[in-house]
Amino acid sequence: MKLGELAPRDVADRMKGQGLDLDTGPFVVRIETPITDLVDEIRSLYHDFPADAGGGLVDFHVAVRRPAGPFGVRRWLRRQAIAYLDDIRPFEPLPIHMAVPMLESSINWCAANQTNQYVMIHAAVLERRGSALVLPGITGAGKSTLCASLAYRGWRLLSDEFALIQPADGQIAAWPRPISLKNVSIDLIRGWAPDACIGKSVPNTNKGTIAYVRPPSESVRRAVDRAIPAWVVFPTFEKGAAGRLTPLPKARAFFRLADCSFNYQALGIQGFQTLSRMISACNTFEFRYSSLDDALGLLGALPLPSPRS
Amino acid sequence: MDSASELEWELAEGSRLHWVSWDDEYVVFDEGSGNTHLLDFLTAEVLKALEQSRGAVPALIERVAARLDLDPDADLERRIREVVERFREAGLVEPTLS
Amino acid sequence: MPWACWARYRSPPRAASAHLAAVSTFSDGSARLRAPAGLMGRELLLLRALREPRAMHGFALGEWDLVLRQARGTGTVARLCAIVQAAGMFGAVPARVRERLETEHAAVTQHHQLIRWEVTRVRRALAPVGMPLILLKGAAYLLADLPAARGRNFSDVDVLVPRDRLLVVEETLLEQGWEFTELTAYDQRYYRNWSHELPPMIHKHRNVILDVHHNILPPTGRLRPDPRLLLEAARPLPGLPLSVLAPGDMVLHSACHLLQSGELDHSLRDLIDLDSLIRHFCSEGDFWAGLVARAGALGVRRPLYYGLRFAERLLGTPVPAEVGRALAHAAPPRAVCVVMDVLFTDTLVRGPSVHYWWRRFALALLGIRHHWLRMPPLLLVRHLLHKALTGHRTVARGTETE
Repeated sequence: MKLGELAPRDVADRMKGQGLDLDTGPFVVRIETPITDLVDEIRSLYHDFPADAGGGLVDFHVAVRRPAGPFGVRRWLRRQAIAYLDDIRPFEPLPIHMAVPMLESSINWCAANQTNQYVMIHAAVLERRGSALVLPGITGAGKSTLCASLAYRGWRLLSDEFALIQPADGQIAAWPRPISLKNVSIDLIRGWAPDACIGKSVPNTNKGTIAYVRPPSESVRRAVDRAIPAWVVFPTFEKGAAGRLTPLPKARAFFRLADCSFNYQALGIQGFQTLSRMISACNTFEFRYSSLDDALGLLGALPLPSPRS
Repeated sequence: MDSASELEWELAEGSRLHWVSWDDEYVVFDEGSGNTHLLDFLTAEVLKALEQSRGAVPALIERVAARLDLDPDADLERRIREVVERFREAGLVEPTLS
Repeated sequence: MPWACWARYRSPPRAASAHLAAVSTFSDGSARLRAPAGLMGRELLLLRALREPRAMHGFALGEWDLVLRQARGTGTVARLCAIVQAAGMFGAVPARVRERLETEHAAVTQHHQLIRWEVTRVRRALAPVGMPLILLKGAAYLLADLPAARGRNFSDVDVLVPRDRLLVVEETLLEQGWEFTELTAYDQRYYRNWSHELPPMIHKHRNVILDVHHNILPPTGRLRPDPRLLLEAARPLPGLPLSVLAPGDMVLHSACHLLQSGELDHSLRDLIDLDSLIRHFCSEGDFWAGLVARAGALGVRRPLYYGLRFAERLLGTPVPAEVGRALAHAAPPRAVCVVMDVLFTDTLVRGPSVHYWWRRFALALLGIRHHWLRMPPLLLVRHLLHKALTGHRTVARGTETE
């Protein structure tokens, strides 16, 4: 059953108790939290995801609680939230209204630190007609905004944060979680995609104001479908710039891609082989843009890479 | 530098190189160190020469010049010495243990 | 609610009786060996899996989930994979679990390559010094191809050098690109004056820490094994100018390391090492008699006692009854044993079955004990105060008195 189909009371009870298992595609995430506002936001953002029956194998365990300390003192001092990944607390406690970014960051943390079955790149991935567009980038390159805009104009969303590349065959697995938007992008996407469901804006985080967009239902429905990478495009937002795609020499694209990878180093020869096959099979570009319409047009017109002989 | 004081260079003990190239640029993964290197055409030739067999810089210059059909002049020597020094910094090559 | 927390901390003496019932060479020998329970009474499933791999046959997915979480919390997923493989059980494990185990094992094995690389670099750098280089711990298990290395996650290279060559070794390494990891002047003094090793070093171009030891225990501690005995008995590795400790010495070092090192968070991995080494070497000639005698010669009978006690009770290491008897006089008072059992068991596993705050508290208690064993009491108070003030680690309230 999808999360949106469960009774709200049910969801809240399970999250307060033994936790609710969400099938997010490649990973089952168990979420535990007694914080009612957070439960409501999760129900909205993960509306279309199947809720597992529970009792099975879970990939990531995330609990977001009120900090308690050994004598329960801190609980009464400030309204805060803290994330527990089993015994690990990767972040300091934050004000309780930041619980959603904390949850999402925690799930990202788990993926970045606890999985080696994929070569993981910090990148947005979208697919059209079977071919995947990989948009690697450090935060601030505008990839999330670009990703959200494409996802709501005909491209299938695979992920806004993680390219999960299977070493065995080079295909990319989909993990279509909520897309994070910052500051001006929030209103931009609200205007661009009026049907998109955007969660509450969270001000004063260390990255400014953050809000999450529910992924398109179709993308969630197709989370089991893998995609074959065809284009690796490094985007840079540049105010006032006309959209421009510049071919990028592949050896350099390889390096920049490896730089954006969480586990390229750790995977050794397997990482090297996976990325070199991917770069060989893709067309690689740098992309400068300022207008989303421009971007949509140019990226939609990318020629498919010629098949290898 | 006279030939008596020239060091002999070889691939770092334990290294094992895997090569891939696109358009005259090379990416080399060294399984031994776990490092990945980006090389241009000339740098790649020097590394390939050392991968084949150890050698001191003068011999290296000759081999690379012959392969690439270049003039073994002072400019080439300077560049190759630089390259070898950078390889050493990067842990790709080391002087042979006497 | 605060009172409920307080009540938990007062229950140790009662719950500890659960440990006394588990039979072994180190108790009265009546009941069958029972899986030891943590303080909160829930079984440590990971320990059961490690001790009896065939028990995993019957695991439901929910139990696999728990085992994997506990394994992840203790850095032993890859080791669990190696154990499953060695027991020929891979076919019986659910596919998703198998995938998790295999990828972690592959990642750890990949990391071994970096350790080998570092060992080669250290060996070549120290070649001009012209002395035998002895590998310790993980690097030794790996280069000597011991079963203890399989699936083992280790990050440092540890070597043993004669104390009189320490200075030239340090100078040579510094010349060749190694640096000290950032430490305050106070920490540097701590290492040089009170410890058995140089401050940790790292090569400026790489990411592996090198620990240069001149003994296996600190010279200011209560136990002072003679390092010359270790150096004399070291065994060369075939085809390489490297040596490792003699088998008995390796076992003793592992036992000493178990409770005396500062890395209490890795106790389970260390215990697994000890178990693996013993199982591998115990068929060699008169291993056990030699081990007890050697422990006496090095003055480390008490750590050996603890090591064998925990290994046998928690991982089922086969320890002959006569060894237990031979070491009985090296045992601490009964009450101490009981408390140590509880503390050690409850800090072993990090994960959902282990109460977070209790574990932190127990770790802190063991931490106090660790420092007490290493440093004379006056120095200890000063050192702990310094650590507390500079925020290295928080000492749980109420434990400042030893």
